[in-house]
Amino acid sequence: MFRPLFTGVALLAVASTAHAQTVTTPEQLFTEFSRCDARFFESLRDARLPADTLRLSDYGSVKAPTIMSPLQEGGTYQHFETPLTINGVRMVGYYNQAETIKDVGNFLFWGFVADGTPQEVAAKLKPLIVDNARFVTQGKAITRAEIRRVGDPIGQWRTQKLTGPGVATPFGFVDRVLMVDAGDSTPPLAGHTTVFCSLQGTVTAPLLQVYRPDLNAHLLD
Amino acid sequence: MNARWPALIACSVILSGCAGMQNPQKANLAHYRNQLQASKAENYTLVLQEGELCLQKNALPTSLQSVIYAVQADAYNNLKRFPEAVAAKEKSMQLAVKPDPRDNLDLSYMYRGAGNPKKALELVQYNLDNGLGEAGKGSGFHMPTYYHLGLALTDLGQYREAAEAFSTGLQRQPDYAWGYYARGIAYDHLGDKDGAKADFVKFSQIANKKYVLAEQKAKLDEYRITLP
Repeated sequence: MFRPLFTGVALLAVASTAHAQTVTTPEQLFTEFSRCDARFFESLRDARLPADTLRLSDYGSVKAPTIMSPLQEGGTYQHFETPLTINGVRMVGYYNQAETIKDVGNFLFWGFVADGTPQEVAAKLKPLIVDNARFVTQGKAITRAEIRRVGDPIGQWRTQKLTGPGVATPFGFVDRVLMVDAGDSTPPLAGHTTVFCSLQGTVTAPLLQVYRPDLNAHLLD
Repeated sequence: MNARWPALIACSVILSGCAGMQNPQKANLAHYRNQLQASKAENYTLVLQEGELCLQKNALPTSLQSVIYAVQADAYNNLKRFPEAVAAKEKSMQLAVKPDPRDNLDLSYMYRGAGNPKKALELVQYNLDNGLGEAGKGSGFHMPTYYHLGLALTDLGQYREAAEAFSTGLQRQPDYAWGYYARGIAYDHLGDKDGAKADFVKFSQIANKKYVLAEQKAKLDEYRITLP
């Protein structure tokens, strides 16, 4: 009888410790980012990072890099006055975008803009990425993908039967992807590599409350 | 749910002509009519009596027996005799010529009533796992599937997942008042009082007052929301 109880308590303790650790290096911060969940924003609350890199704002109980609005074209990007160097990769900015495409779903993208090619950037960052055995090349990008069906436990993601690149997420599912890819052809991403997380598909407010505490969960309702 | 049975009974009677019956065919047709009228009148005790008479005295085709058991299950359900509803529904599904994914959703509801939300959840998940949308395989999933998914998750105390399921259903059918109410309950359990209130307000605005139950009115009162 006591063993399950002890195990449960031990797990809770580990979880508490993990939350209590203060991020003191850009590499630690990136590891938190690579989870593509709330931990990045929670860790920014108390993070001690090099000066004049990320400008942060309070969003509810967490912090996030300051942008104007994830919904406003031209207002989704922050350029770093001083690049944030992570394992030798120069991050020059951060972006945070959200949009709804009718009959397709909701899309959220957040992450860094880096100097270098996708392959160079991915190689340097890979050791810092959580569950990096699944961080693999897909076409020209390097990705770690997973999918979740509505109704699955909120923290549970499936790694089988993935949607695949270029295929719309089926209704009732959410794709979550960590991706390193070439930036698009327009400024400020042009000529850079993007290192970002995405949530796409049937992304609902109850899900966003868990994974994106920096956002108004109802922004896409 | 009730509206489906009279139509089914009427169709079955007309199409089958109560095949398999011998002399007392007219009498049995009368039982069906009585059952139909009883169902319309929401006299569920009479529905059960008439159904029993049909099942006991006749060698009906299995398709028709399936319908009668389904009507009985609905009556038991309305009488809140959930274990009997489950038994009748399962019998109906066993005898059905063609599986209907909606039957799993109805059965899920009955299992919840019978205090077995785990089984209720499994039934909805079976449909999801097998691509069995409400209108058949590959037809896609809509509010009924996500509503029953959310209800089962609510009963299991998985309120976050329940709220997500209701939200998904509401993307398909944003005018389904009970979806808002159910999500409001999930938010309420999560401590998101603002989210709950917004949903209860929406519910109060679009629900047909005739079907709002006492417990739902009490919840609205708790949030100081009055039905218009």
